[in-house]
Amino acid sequence: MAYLDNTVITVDAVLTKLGRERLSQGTFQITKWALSDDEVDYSLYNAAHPLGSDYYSNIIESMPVLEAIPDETQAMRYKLYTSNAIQLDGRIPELDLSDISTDFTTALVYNGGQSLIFDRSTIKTKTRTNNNGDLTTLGIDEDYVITLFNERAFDAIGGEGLVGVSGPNFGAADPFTTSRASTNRNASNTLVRTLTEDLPRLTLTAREDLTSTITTKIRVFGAKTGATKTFTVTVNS
Amino acid sequence: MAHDGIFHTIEGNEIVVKNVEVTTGLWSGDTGSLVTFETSNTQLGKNNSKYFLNVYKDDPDSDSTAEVQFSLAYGHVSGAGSPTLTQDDASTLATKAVYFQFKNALLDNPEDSVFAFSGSANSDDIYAISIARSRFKSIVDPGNWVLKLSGSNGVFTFIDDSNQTLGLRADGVRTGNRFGVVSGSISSANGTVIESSVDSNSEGYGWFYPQKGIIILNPSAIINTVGFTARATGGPGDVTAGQENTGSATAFTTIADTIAPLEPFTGSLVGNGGNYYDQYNWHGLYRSMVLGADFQARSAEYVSSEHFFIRVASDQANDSNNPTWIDETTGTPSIEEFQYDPKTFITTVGLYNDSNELVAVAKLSRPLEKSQTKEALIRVRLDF
Repeated sequence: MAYLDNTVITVDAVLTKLGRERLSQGTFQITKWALSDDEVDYSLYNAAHPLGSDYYSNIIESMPVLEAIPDETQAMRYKLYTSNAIQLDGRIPELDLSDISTDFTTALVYNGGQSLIFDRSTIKTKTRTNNNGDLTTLGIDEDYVITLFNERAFDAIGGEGLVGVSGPNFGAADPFTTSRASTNRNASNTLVRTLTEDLPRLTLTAREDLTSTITTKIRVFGAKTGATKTFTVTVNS
Repeated sequence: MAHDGIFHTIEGNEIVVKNVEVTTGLWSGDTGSLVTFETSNTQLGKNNSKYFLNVYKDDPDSDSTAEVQFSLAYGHVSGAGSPTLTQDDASTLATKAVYFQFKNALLDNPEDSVFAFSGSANSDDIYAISIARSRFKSIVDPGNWVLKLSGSNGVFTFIDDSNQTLGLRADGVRTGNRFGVVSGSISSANGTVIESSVDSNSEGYGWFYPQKGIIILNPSAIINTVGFTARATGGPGDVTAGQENTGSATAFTTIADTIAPLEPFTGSLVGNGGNYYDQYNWHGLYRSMVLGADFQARSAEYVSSEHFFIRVASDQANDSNNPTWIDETTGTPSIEEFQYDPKTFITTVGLYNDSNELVAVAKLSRPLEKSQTKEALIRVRLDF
């Protein structure tokens, strides 16, 4: 009689830059988790493995994984989702940001004072349902999480999120008019805002006082589907 | 349990907060035993060498990464071992400053005139071993350090008297501010064995202050037990004759490093050609430690850990946004099998706050297969 497998996988977590900043501010909290499969390339899944189905995933499962990267912008790139929980029924979600641009293959370029606006009503989560590549809007109500990798490139107004301890929570107070001093930016440089039903709009205005051009990235993902789009933006000095 | 697509809200019973004591070897590399005691020619050349000696595990003159393990100091209540102000207007009375510094920092009543050791032994001078803060973290683990000193009477082992049986922490150890230094061992099967708490003159060996990482030794008792070479009063002479030092710390240690441990020089300085020199009285203890060649100790610190139990149900997290999972042309899984039996391979757990900020991240050692027929339980530990 064999022993039952009572193994619990134990892993150590590391704080991200933003986590350490929140800890120092006394606003650190953990309320939810998500999973990702960063580093896994599914083309390594071999359904033609000569030893049969037990070995289809052998290459992937045998692969050692890199250490955690303590940078909130670099980890959790590809999130796992629960299809049934959001009535996707096997369809794969995809973000449509065509209201912002139809071509993200090159950097979006902004001069000082120009704005990049994210609006919950114009960002769409779509699926390809008819196997011909056409996108169909998914009928789910989804918030969107926007991560600006280097918030020194823009002044931000709107969305829901935390700011530095000494800065105003402009998301909750007045999402469209309240700004904040540059001294209240996150030390980690990372700005995270969520477009919600109550705070549906985030305006990023390219800073006019830059002494050198900043090129950075913005990541948008659906808070239910995890559908993600990451693109590059450049703000000229 | 609330699972909303990608985020899972953590319920109260999915978090456990634990404070655990973590002990490690005290010395660099978390080794528990220090057997080499190196010094820095750079530090010896500095003015502060008349106050203390930094001791390293590796030779700092050849290894730039060498770290200070502890400092040795000698203090005298009247400033013996340092030139008087009469002898040298610029004298800073280093040994007196050291004595009063430790008296102020360690005694319950700093206005006490001298250190008093067990056996009612008042001592005008002290040796001080001050362990680097970065090495002992929160506390030098009581009952788990051993210092071997060697002299003309042999090798003697000193420990503290916290009476901590191995594996069983005595009451009050963590709250105690001070323990006695005694001769004995901690390697017995029964734990700590104290051989003697005083020397043959009934003088206590010293005090151990775990929270401060400081061991104060009574030179009289240590010298009487271990056996240091007397340094005759008067002078000037050379070091080998055991007399007054008339050179720099570097010149002094160059000679003294090759001979038996020297007693502190506490007599009146005679000087040499009208010049008076510090006596570097910490050297006898340093030399005795070099010859004893073993200083074992552990650091201890309390680490507050949060344990998050990540329970992934069979129907959860079976689909991925990974571009290689998706055939972007058809909008279906790139692997045909996954269209009716979706699988993913978990590598990363992200911990978020209410604002969807990723505040902590954990990685599995290898990808964990997840499918509709498999559940997963992952315990994520976050130390503070």
